[in-house]
Amino acid sequence: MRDAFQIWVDAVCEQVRFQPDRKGIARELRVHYEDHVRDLLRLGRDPALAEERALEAMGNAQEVGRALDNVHKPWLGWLWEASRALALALTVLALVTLLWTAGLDSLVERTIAELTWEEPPAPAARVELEHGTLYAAPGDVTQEPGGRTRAEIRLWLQMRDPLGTDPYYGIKNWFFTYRDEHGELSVQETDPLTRTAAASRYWRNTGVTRTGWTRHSQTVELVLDGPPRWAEVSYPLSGQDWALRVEWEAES
Amino acid sequence: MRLTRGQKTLRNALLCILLAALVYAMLGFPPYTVRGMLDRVERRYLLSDLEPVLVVRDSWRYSDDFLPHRVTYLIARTGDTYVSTDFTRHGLEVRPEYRRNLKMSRSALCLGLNGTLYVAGDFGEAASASVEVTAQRTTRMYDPETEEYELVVRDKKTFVYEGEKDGDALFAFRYREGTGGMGSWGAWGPYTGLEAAAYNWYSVYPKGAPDGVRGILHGDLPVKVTLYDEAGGVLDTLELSIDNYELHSYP
Repeated sequence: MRDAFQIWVDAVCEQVRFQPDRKGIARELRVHYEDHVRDLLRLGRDPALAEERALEAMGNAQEVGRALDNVHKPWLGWLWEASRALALALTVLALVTLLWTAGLDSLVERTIAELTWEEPPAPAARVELEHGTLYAAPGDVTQEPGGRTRAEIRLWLQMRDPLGTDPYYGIKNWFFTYRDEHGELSVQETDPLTRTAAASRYWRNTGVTRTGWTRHSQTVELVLDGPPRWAEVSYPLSGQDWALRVEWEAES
Repeated sequence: MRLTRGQKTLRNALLCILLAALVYAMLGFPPYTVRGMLDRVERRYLLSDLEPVLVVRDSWRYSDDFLPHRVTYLIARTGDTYVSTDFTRHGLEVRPEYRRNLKMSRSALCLGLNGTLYVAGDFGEAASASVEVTAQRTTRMYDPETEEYELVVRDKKTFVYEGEKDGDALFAFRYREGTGGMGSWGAWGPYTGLEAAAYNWYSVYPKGAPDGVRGILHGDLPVKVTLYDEAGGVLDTLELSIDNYELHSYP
């Protein structure tokens, strides 16, 4: 059988529409009530009288309930519960992403590459594109026995935002065109079908590539028959009319 | 300091935004819509103003997969440049070019997908089209001892299909025989169609390997598209090519 306080507290809680809070409210009201009863007992009141007075002092159940309902707004309560659940779910998701994908490695490597990016040298050729700025400058030239020459072109790309960046190849230059005074260079050394030599002059990407969040760099190698003088990088397949010209200083 | 419920909610909301941004960044800013995918292609390949010409969605599931792989194949264009690519979503992760490398070409582009050859271009004036795809038996032998390759090419066969127009920039040519899959081109198929030729006619063998050891060679098949006007007169012809893997490999 419920005691008088329990009947009162049930009447209070019925007024509170946000049900998840009812248990906590009941607990807190009981603490107040029991404190008051103890105080009255210390003053020498009869236990039954002390409980009666303490309950009277708690006030009208309907009014107290309405006041508490006003404080414990259902929309705010549910919003708070939802925010807790969502925060928990996202924490778990972040941990899963961190552990089961290359998430952390990628974050760290790209952040390091972003922060240690070397600015293109002042004389580098540049072109402003819709999503970023592309730079090109001449790199090292090495001579090989037999007259072959390897001439590097260094590319930098500074994007306006990190969206869409390939985490491994920041500069997707597969469709760029490289040409010098002797004409356009082939994209591959061997014919993929016959595996025989397809071109004596060709270009290829070296493994030297840095991919940050918005800043990327890459080194392209031109394999030529002789020392390079100049080369042009362009992208006619894209329909864009630009060309970056790089020039090597003649050896004295 | 004891926070009110409103303040706690606000704190949680900020935490959620931070976590969501972190997860999105760790996943590499994946796109979930066609517009988002084209936007990523523009940034990756330094293009602009791509508009979709073809969107084909499909999904598959490996035997040990809890979630399916949902792939979106796209053809898009900007000016007279055409690109084809794909994005594969697995859970929240979206991988570009997971199935195939991106292709880019001027004026027109063809894409083989699930028994259909799609050709994209400026076809506003064309009323109909036909396509001729030529396959040639091609075998490459590799000698591991000498590290030399020998290429043997034999008979050719040209397959002709009529196209269905789909808007001003796309024709679709259905070349699949039967229901598709292994029944059309694999070990138990009738071996007569383009799909079977693309699968069975391009081979690579190491010399001295036991019977049945065969790799499938990549080969470019010439694709000739003829465009016709309303009266049936020839408007134009296009010379394109397509990798045999696109013609048989699906999904």
